[in-house]
Amino acid sequence: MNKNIYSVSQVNTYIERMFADDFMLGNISVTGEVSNCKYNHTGHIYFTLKDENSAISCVMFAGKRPKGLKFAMKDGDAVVVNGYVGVYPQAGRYQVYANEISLAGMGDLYQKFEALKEKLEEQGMFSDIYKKPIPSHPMKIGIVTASTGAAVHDIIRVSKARNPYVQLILYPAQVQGQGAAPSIISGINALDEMNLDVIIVGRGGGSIEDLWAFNEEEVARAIFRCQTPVISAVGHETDFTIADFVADKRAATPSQAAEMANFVYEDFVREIDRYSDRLNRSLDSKFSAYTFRLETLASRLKSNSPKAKILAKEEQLNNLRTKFEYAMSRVLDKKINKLMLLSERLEGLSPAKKIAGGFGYITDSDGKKVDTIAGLEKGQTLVTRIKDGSFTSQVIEINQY
Amino acid sequence: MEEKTVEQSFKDLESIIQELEKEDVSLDDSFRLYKSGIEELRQLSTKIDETKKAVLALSTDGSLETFEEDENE
Repeated sequence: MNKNIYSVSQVNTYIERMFADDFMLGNISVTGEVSNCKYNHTGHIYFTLKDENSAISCVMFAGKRPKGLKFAMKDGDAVVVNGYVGVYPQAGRYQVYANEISLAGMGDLYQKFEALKEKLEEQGMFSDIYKKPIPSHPMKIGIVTASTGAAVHDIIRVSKARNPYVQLILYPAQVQGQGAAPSIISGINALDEMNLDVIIVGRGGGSIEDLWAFNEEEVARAIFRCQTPVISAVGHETDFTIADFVADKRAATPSQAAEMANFVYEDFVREIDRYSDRLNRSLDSKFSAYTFRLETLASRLKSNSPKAKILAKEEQLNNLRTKFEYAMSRVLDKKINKLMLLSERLEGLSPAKKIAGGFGYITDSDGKKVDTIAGLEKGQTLVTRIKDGSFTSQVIEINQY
Repeated sequence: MEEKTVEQSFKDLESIIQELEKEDVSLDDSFRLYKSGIEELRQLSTKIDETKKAVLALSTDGSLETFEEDENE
């Protein structure tokens, strides 16, 4: 017999402390089927979690609900409850105090996702070395998505806005539910055959179940095998799928995928114009450089041409001639002057001057000077020149002095 | 001529122009470079087929048909 006797409170408090100290019970996830689910008017939820053999009481307080419970939990749901196991001393009961409740299937999916991600990553399928670059100017773009809905609409709208001349080819795929994965795979394979520049694979936002096809291993492998660069575009910014990891490029949304895949046509035209300008400018400058060289050479050639030399010689000759003529004329002038002086002096000595004042110059008919009577004969003709003329006379008489 | 990608054409054009912009390129080479540059430009412009294209949908039998978006979606 045990000597010590404890009060009920003491026992419950002791157990409560034991539970609180326990590492495992402090943070535990329990899965089971919901039963006896009651929504208290204060907002707390009381329910029982059970499996085939056992049951445990659970409570989720109103304060935990906004973050911890994202669906309308009801009896029969298979759930995973995360929280701690504690004691309610007033009733001597232990129960699960839930922080978070999720549908059990989701937990499964998450685990599958993580397992596949790890497996493919280990196989190197996410490695950058396999990532093909997205061409800068795709002209033919394939799209694997549903033919209705926001995704295809956004891709077409954004693509056409950037490049109205792009050829879009849609493979209308089933992107959720049974058969989605094979449909997406055939889409990828069919478009890969078509020699396109890039393929966008994706869909709009949805629940994890809706997006699930993009977490299937076979879809991932089809993307990996695809020779054409693949842009994945699944759901919203926050959604990551296996397809995103294995694709050559991940777009946060279908619109963003269209932005990545399409170049802006106007930019392209501008770029071509810029190149055309540069090409013409560089040839122009080459031309003007050559023209300049040509002109320089031409003027050098000109200045060295024989014509210029001849001209120079001619000019030299002209100069010499001028000088010579000048010198000649000076000499001539001097001579003329001298001549004039001489002629003046000569004039002073002229016989004409001597025959002034009644003197005359007598010659015979042959022009021979007559200054003596010797040789004169009667009847001989003589010419006498005086100042203003001459006359002819005959010798009548001869007298000797 | 082998099908050249647009980026390859841009790259080639870039190197042609860089060559042309060099000081010591002869006039003959300039003409040759300019000619090939113009050819590259022409190819670039024709590479983009400037006709608006309808979105095509590939059906399971492999045929292509015009895809009309349902505006009510």
